[in-house]
Amino acid sequence: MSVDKIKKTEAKEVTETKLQGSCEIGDTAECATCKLCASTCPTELNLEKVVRIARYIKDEKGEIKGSHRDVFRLASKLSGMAETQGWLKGVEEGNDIVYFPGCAALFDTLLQRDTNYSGNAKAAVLSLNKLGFKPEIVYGCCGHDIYFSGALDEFEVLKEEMMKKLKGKKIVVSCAEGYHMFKNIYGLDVVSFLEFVQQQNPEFVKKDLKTTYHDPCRYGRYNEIYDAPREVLAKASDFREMENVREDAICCSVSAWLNCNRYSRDVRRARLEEAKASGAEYLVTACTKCSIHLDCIHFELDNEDAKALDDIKILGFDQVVGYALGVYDPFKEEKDYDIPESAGKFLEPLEIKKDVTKYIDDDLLEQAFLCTTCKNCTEVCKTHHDTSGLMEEFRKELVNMGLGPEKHEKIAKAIAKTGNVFAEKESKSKPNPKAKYIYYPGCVALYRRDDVFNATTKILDMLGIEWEIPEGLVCCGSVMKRTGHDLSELIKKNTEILKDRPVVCSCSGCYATLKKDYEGLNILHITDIVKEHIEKLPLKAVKKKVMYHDPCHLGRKFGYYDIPREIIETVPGIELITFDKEKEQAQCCGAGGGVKSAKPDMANNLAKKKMEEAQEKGADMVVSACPFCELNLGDNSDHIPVVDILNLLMESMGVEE
Amino acid sequence: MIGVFICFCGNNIGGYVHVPELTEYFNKKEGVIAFDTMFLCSEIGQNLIKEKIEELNLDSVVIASCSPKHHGGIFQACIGEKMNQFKWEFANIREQCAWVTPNKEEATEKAKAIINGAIEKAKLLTDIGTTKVSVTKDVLIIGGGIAGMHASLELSDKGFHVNMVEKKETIGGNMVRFDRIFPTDDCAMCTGSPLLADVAMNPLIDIFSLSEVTEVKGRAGEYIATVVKKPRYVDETKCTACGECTTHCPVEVWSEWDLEMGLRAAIYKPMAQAVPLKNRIERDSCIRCGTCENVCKAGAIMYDDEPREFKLTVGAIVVATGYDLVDLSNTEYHLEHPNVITGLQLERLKVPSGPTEGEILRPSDGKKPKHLLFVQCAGSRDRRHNVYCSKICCMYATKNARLIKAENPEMDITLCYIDMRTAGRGYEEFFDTAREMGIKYLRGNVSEIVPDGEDLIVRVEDTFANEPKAIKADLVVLSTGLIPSQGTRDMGTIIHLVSGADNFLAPVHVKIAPVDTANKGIYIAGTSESPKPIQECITDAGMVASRIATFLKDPEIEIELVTSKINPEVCIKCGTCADNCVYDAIETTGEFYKVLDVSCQSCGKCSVTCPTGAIDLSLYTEDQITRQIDGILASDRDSIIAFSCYQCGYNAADLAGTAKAKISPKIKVIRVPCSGRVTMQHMLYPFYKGAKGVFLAACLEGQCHYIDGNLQAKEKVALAKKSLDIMGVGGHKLNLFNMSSAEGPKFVAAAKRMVEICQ
Ligand SMILES: Cc1cc2nc3c(=O)[nH]c(=O)nc-3n(C[C@H](O)[C@H](O)[C@H](O)COP(=O)(O)OP(=O)(O)OC[C@H]3O[C@@H](n4cnc5c(N)ncnc54)[C@H](O)[C@@H]3O)c2cc1C
Ligand code: SF4
Ligand code: SF4
Ligand code: SF4
Ligand code: SF4
Repeated sequence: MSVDKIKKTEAKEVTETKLQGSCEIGDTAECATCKLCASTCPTELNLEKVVRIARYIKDEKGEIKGSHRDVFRLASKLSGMAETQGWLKGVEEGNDIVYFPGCAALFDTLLQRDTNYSGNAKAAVLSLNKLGFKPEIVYGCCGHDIYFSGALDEFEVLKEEMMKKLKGKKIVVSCAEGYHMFKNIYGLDVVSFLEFVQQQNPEFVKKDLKTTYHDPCRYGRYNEIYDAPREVLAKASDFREMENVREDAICCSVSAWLNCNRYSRDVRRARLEEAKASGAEYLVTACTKCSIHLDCIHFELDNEDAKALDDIKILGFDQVVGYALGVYDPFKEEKDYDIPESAGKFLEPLEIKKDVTKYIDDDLLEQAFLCTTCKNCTEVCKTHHDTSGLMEEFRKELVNMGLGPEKHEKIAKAIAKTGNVFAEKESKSKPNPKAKYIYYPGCVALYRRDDVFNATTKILDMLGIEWEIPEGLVCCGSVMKRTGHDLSELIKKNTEILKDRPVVCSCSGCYATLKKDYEGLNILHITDIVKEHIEKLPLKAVKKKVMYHDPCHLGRKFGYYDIPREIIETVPGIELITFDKEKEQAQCCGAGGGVKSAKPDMANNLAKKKMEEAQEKGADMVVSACPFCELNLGDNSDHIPVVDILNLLMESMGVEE
Repeated sequence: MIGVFICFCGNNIGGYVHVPELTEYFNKKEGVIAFDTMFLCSEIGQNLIKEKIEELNLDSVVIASCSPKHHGGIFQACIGEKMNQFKWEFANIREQCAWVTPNKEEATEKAKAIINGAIEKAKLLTDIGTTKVSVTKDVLIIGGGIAGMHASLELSDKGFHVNMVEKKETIGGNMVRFDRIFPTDDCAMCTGSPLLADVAMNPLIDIFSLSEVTEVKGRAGEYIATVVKKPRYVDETKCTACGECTTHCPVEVWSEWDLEMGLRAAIYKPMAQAVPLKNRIERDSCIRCGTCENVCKAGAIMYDDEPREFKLTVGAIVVATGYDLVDLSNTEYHLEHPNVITGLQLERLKVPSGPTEGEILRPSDGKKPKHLLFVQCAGSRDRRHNVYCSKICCMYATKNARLIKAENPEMDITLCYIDMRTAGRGYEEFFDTAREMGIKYLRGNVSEIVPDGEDLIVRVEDTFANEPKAIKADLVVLSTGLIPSQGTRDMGTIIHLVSGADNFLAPVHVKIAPVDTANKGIYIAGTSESPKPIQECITDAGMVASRIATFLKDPEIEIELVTSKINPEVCIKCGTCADNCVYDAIETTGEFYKVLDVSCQSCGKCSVTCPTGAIDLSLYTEDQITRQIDGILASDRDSIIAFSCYQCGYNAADLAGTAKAKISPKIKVIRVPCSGRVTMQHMLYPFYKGAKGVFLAACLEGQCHYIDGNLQAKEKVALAKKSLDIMGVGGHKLNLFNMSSAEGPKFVAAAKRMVEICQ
């Protein structure tokens, strides 16, 4: 099974306990903050920040739960309150440089597994000794896990303590998380052990280990340290690459001890399979956490697929260096942590007043409302994190605090008052209580793209399908939902009217909302119906190069890719050419998620980009299946018309609109 | 809204704690409403609870009163009438607060913290349902001694089909080897043989002799026992027990049944009343000469007989595997000397149908002894052997001394004892007449028996005369202490039963559930539980029969789902939980792991080692315990948290209260089902919230009611201590103390030690 195939299945017997993170604010816990999706996000927003603040809100409610009963986040908090003891013995210490060994000894004890992750730090110091350095070892906790899991107040306390020990010093750090924290969050002068060894360029004596390298996100995508470990490993061992590396590296899928579940386990398993396939015997990484999570499968007692991975072992980068330098034996029995008895300290519990507003700044508000809810990230995300769901829920929190964009508030008011997004007064109902179908055109087709409205109704008529637009329908609430507003009133009103008959939508946004956020309705997209009766339409040749734009709410949301394309291809003479990225990878029109109203520049830029590509590819026409996409793309197209699929059919039939 | 009901318990709580102050205090707390009443367990109290649940639509209830060990059941039933029976939490402010805190102000503050912890936990309580599973009406009785026989008769009288599995070639156990029975001196066989016959003839009782249970699987109401029947080498369906074979068999070896006081052939039946009444070839002594095959007219000899394994499906199990005697050979008692015998051997000599036809003849030369000496407490009340008293030896030695004296007035009979323990109806009178008969009772513990040729010199200090003595005897009878039989000891591994420090099987509660075990549907009777006279074995057996009749009365039993649950989305199927579960309660075969509600014993050990947190124990969830800690520490930050296992530590804490010991008010008990339920997070979290210390009060090693929970806890505590040392918090502030449920003083000592450490 490849990682890409890992999809969430509906567990048959979900018990009282919830999936970690599936609570109010989206699935915040399920994001590994690995940044794999960053390059696919059209708006390039800083997801990590949003996730972190969203977790803060959840943490306040006690809803953030790490694996291992959350003991590691607890230990991190405790570390900020007491004084971490030294646990490395048998190394030469001095004050040439400062070395930070991370938390491995805590992991070795608290994990309750027979592990020696501490060996990495020991190997690092022995290697430094060998290279002629006698470091001052500063113990403590960098706070990565509490920071990334949203325990930001506790992190501040810890940071202050650590700053006392580290300020003004030049620090060598082994683990990726410590490196990232000290460098980018503490703003300290740090060098990674990876680069340190690379610069020292030592002579290696034992190079027999067959290795491959797993990029920890914190070194890789966060800090772009890709070459140093590879260069060193190539010299220090028999090195080979895995399939997905560097920017595309698959992560260990557990970050800050969150998100350990059957899905992320499959990602880890797939990563080990990749390592094994590379021909390596040792998967080397430079992050204790990556080591722990990837190694986890070796402690499973029951899974067949785990047993098959017994022969691919996990080693720390520093261990390989220590081994290659001939100063450290990673295969020995004894442990490398040596814990002294501590006199102890009575802890003053932290006086923390949780208040998320401390962490809400303009940048966050900007980031939070940038997302077009296109789900591009979810598509690449190995754990299928529902980012757009998170955004919607997080926006709800902000809106409740009165921090939503003014434009969104206006729209919400308009809907409350007039029942439509555009505050139009005119009712466009077409009652016909006998009709078998209800046509639900949605705000855009009704008030901004009547071309779509007209084409839809005409084609329904041509197919002999009786339809009506009943009195009293209001906006489906798509925009409300995306922008963090309450749509329950709308749901109530519409459901009452829509509940008994099949409902046809011409707008993907309406389709998605009615299908996902409403209950008990029979929702069809117009293309479903057209596809079924296409032979009844007298289609004539249209000699045009056409590009199809996948609406996110039809495509990625429902995997609805083929029907529209099939319809287009039925039209004689049409040449269907494609965007560089389409279907699952398609780039959005830029308008969704309330971006068109609140961040019009972003919406326009994205649409322009898309239309420029259409122009370059020589398209005569861009076709879509969502009036809202068509509206935004059309607004940003100078030459190429953007029409609905039904309008294309109308053209083919030579029907005047 | 959470309703807090605080009990004065007359003066029992009211005299030590300002109850009205508590009520007032909790009434001010948001989302809480508090009431107090004189006796909460009374009808008035119960009505108050029921009324308020209904009137105020309470979400959950906190009962602040005595230990849940007392009236937990009453309150559960009372609350269950109005809402889910599990939506309440206990605050033990009597045994663990009022009675151990002499200062009223301190006691009141402590009560606040305890109640606050309970309130916080109660906020997270959820409805817990029940489920029904079908039951098999058959019963398995392991061991066919007096306890097993009586239980089987009682049960068959109630209409249950009984499978009796007996290890030996005959049922009857030890009692049918005796001559007479105290305190009535009636003959053992006169009482025993009608019973044996009843069991043998009863159509509802199937007897499997020479058989042993090797495995028990399944769940309460439907246990599947694997039984292995050893070969008898005689066809039970054909043998008529004519004894022709025995008469002709050339072999003569010591008889095990007669405890080597007599001989038997290789083909034999142990006694005339054996059940089943069939001969048996004991393979090790048989020389395969073929004689029996030739003489046996029934053609019953089966040299090629083989062990047979079969399975029995039963709804309930009775363990009545009895006792053995402690082996005193090669000790200061010199049991290996021919003229030192045990009380049980003496019984064989005394039985009229026994090897000496009832004559007391000493083994070395077959002569009648002139100086007979009984040594009491041989192997009992002695740290080198068994610390406990075997309870019956004073009586059985006196019984035999009296009988022998009556028949041989000239014989000099001395009985050396530490104290005579003859408590029981008619027992003291029994002892009195013995002295009147001229039996010499010498108060002194025998220090050594020194062989002197065929005679023996018994060294003892006469503590009345205050002089050491060396008494010459030509036959010494040891009143040997009782130990659990091998079969009884094996039950620990075969059925996962728990035993006490004395290795006898432990009931779930010595006082209020003396025949129940922690495993539903499995009961213990007779001397497998502790040394006791026949009378008590019969009482046990009757009670077991009654318990089983209740348990199996309906076609289905209701099971409360206070079990562990697995969230299939989170579970990575690593197998750790299943590996940890000694009850095989986690089904691992399907696409998802699942806890089998009927098998789960709710110890929570599984959930502690789950890496992902997918599995959690109802009623003691990770969060519920954490919130309870929060609640306690919010009231009293300086607390020392005492996670106490409900089987031992908690009970010991209660007993400390009953004894009105003094315990620092800093100590706050959190009840857990098993010390193995306490996670690393629970051990560390209190420190984060400012607690001064944390300890676990667990069962004695080897006596965990869930087999190994306390050993697992021990490992975890060791690691958590290390991590506390790394973090600089100090590992010495976390400790584990082992204690039995009876050891109140140990809890007090643990608490004291913790207060000293955590200054
Ligand atoms: C010397 C002596 C004299 C006594 N005199 C008296 C007296 O006068 N009055 C009195 O009240 N009490 C007396 N007692 C006590 C009395 O013996 C016990 O109370 C009584 O016999 C106990 O019965 P039981 O059924 O519990 O156990 P047992 O009699 O020990 O029966 C247990 C049965 O279980 C069987 N068994 C063991 N393991 C297994 C297994 N794994 N599978 C299947 N079967 C198994 C055994 O073979 C045995 O048949 C005396 C005891 C002694 C030692
Ligand atoms: S991957 Fe393994 S080690 Fe990592 S959090 Fe999950 S269970 Fe723990
Ligand atoms: S790819 Fe998934 S896990 Fe990684 S940052 Fe994006 S949403 Fe989070
Ligand atoms: S065959 Fe064995 S049992 Fe039979 S008579 Fe010979 S010795 Fe005895
Ligand atoms: S220990 Fe946890 S993750 Fe592992 S199989 Fe059990 S429930 Fe699943």
